[in-house]
Amino acid sequence: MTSLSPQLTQQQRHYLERIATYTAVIVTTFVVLIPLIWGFLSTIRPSEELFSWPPVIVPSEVSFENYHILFEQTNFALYFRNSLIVALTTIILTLLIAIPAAYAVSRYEFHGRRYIANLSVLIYMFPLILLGIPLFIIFQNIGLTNSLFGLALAHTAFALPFALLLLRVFFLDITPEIEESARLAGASRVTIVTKIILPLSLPGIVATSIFAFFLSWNEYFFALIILNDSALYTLPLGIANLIDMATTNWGMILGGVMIMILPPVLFVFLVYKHLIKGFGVSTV
Amino acid sequence: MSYASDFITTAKREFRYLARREFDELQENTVGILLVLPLVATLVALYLYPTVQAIIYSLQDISIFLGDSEVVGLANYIDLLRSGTFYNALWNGIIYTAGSVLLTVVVGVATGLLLNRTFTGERIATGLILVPYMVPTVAAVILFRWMLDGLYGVGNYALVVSTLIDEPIAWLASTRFAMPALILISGWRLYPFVTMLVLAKLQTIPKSYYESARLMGASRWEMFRHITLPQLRGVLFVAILLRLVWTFNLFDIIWLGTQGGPGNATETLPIMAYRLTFIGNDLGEGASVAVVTFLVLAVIVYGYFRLYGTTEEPR
Repeated sequence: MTSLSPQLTQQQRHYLERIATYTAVIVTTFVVLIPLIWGFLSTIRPSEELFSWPPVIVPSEVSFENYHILFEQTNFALYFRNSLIVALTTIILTLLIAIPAAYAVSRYEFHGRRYIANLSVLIYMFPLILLGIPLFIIFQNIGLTNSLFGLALAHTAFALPFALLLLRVFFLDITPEIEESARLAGASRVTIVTKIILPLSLPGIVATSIFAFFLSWNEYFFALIILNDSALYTLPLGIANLIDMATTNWGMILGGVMIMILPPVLFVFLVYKHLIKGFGVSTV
Repeated sequence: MSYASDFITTAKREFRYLARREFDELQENTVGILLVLPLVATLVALYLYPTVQAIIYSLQDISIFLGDSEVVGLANYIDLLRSGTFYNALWNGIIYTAGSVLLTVVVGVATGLLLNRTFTGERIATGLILVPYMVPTVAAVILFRWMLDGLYGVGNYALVVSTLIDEPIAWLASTRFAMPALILISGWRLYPFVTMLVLAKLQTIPKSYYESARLMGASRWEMFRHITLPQLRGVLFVAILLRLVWTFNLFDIIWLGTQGGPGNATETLPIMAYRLTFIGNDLGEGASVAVVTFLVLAVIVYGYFRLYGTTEEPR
């Protein structure tokens, strides 16, 4: 690029700046996506092209054989199902526990309220390993190891502090006047929550669910500690295990990786509109 | 039969009604406490109790199968502080944390600044640049293991072609290069966290600041140095703090990438604690490493606050 000498007119300068911005955006986007692009290309090319030097960049032919093998010859579908069960259970448990607590913290005056709100910050300082080691023993004693519910419970504990913070922000956004007028009209506490607070804070509830889903879908450490039986493996454990078993079949393993990446990415795009719309809900 | 079911339905309704009225008449203080009770109970059962339990285990000579245990006081800690593997893990953790945090912050700030510019397709570009944060850790590590493969890795090919290296390197299997490779993976996976925080903050800086600076003849660099950076200070303080804590405690990327190897080359404290407990079956020693991890972290965080936390309150 030419140097921005003072002789350049305003117009030229502006033009150069545009070019620079677009180049930077395109190059950056491409560079950060290289691992994903390369991973995907590796799943659809003939397997002999995976193991060639120099590597072939553009696949000579497209085949979805790897995805076929993944579902036919491995327990991938089972891992996927297990992950889904754990994630959904985590979402439900998190909402059931965090919604009342966040509501109480944002609306009611009670002893210890301040501590609850500040708890989350402290809790995220805890090394996972410090919790994981004793949790393994505790869960073993009460029969929650080798249990998808046990894993969901661990994920819930991990999701709760942030869920509390997130929901609190949304609850605080609803003006207390609405509740005040509802109360004057004779609505009970429960009615106020189910008819006013929950519908108005739906975007917050969706956001919290997405967060809990991400956390659970991604989580490897507790799964590693809690699950021993390979029939109960969630995706992170299952895919990591495929590597140990079939080191050479990278095409198939990366196929699993691609499928695993899809739900979190899709999830966000699907509810994106809803989220944006939700933020615009007026509370007057 | 139908009378009975009618009766039950009515009774249920009646009961619900009474319960609601009862609930409405409770003191605000009582309602508040009732509502947070499940949360507090869960956190006590799954955070506080295990932590206390870990401390108790760390004072015992006890295996993962429990069985015979013996209280040995601080013996596990003393053994730990006398062993070379501990200092190796501590040092690895510091290197890994410093490298990853530096990389995520630099890339995060750069991408945040870039996305804050006005251009067509902003939303798509923002979405795509944030994608690595949505990629599960296992997926990210496998993608990089494939790209950094010693025989067929395209990353190696790119480096050889650009003559940065002479021949392919088995990154994750090399004592020298495993740590940089892990830092690279962590950086890629985690920079969007910083991007999001920085971008959110940048969008709140009033445009008028820059306009007045421009009128006074400030250069771009001066504006960045004297307006943007000071405005980002608060958010960077928080971002670095959280990344520092999470990276020092991080387990999955290292375990999936190298399992702490080759040898002990990439073993950090969490990895060491896991290895001692679940592979060595030594619950007492493993728990003591976990407790020490927490203590070291507390010292680091305290130091961080003393160094940077005084002039401006974190937000």
